[in-house]
Amino acid sequence: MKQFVKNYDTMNHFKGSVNQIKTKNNIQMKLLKFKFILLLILIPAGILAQDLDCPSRLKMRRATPPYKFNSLSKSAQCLTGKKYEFVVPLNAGRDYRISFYASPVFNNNINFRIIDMNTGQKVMDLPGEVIEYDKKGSCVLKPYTDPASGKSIHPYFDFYPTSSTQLKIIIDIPSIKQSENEGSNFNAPEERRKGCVTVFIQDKKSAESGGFSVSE
Amino acid sequence: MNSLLKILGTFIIVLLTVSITSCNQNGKSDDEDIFDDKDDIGFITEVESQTYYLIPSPEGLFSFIRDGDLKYVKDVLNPTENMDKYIDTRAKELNFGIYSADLAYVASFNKYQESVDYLNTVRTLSDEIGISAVFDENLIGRIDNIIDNQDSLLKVTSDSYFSIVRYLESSNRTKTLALIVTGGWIESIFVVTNLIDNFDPNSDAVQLLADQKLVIENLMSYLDQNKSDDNIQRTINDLKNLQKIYQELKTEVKENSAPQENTDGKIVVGGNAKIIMTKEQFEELKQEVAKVRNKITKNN
Repeated sequence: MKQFVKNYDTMNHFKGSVNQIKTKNNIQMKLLKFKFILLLILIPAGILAQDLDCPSRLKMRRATPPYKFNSLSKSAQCLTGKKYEFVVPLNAGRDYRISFYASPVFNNNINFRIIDMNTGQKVMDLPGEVIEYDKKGSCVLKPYTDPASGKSIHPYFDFYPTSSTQLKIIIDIPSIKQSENEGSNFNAPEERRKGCVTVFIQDKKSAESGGFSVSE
Repeated sequence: MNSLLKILGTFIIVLLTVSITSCNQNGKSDDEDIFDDKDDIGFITEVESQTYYLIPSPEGLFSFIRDGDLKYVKDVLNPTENMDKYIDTRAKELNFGIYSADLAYVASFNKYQESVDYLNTVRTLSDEIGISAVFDENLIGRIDNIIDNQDSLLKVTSDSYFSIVRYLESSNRTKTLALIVTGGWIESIFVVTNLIDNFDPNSDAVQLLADQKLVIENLMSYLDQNKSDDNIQRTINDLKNLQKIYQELKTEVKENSAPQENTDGKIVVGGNAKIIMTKEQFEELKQEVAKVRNKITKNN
């Protein structure tokens, strides 16, 4: 009888320990689930928050010497199905280097046109990406391979104003329906995507004469 | 399995909530890229367009002075003591721009003590117009540790300016930004006109002033986008005479003065047209700029 009671006590004690371990495990599992949920909340929230702060995208860009960052640079929030114009005054006597960056949400499906407002001439008209070409000047957003160094280079465009002028940069972002559902008869509502487009401008004193130049 | 479903369910609900909140924030706060009711339901009937008029920063304008031979004259600047005069929001925002330009000017000439004084004034005003968050620990640390070095002085001052612009753009305070940019531009032009002792139509400084004809058009269009605001409308009215003076500047076609072909892969722009400013026009401009600028700094 004594032995039975002893065994019974031991079993109870064992059961208690098992319960304690189970409770502990449950708490740990709950904690793990909570952490998982928290991660699931924070990651998309972080991504969404980043997308909205386009002006801060400019901080990511660094001027390449001898060019210096030009304050006319702009990063703006853009939507598919919308056209944007940036009117940029340029001074004679300086060299300008302009490059463009766009959020991946646009898939480089953006058209770029630049008009010289002094002459009224179109000086650039290029797509964001051309799949079959990989050379400088073929597109605006997709990096090309430099044949000399073999390095991947983000496209840039150099401008030399002989007189002070304004450039009108026209950025046309087609709607998703136009760009992705081409040929489809399905008259679905268009999806509007939002992202950032950056016009990154650098400048330096021009080595060339012409117009007026600033004395050193 | 049930737990996994619960987690997935929670995730979907949370994701939807975050997405909806995010869209609502944009729809309400973004004045420029505004979503109208039609857009909210995802239909687009025609291609919309939006124009950004870009204005150079004071530092950008003074970089020409730095490269040239204009001298340093502290007396033309707005004294830091004037800060106490600015009570209303418009005066604070316009003079914030004025002081930012003064800061860029003194930093261009590597004037350490003056730069610190103007930087402190800009910091104090930033607090009063609710943008003190720009001056975070990192920026304040950099300001406190400025050594007497033109590059770092200029770098810190221009970084401060761009941080302010980015902050205002990010928080959609376009009207505040418009007034700051206006103040900065007016002060830059005021300083340059006062540094020219002897008028020479071929000098770089005079040409820089004449070329501002393009900038004032941008500035007026930019202000016009925000004219529903009384403070902006008042500023537009104050700038109208100045705009008129600039509109009267003629454009001359230069002869054989510049290469027209594409050199070194550069795209040649601008053509042969050059904006011309006569001595009389310069004097008229100088007078009008002083009038507009002093109205702002004296807060009349």
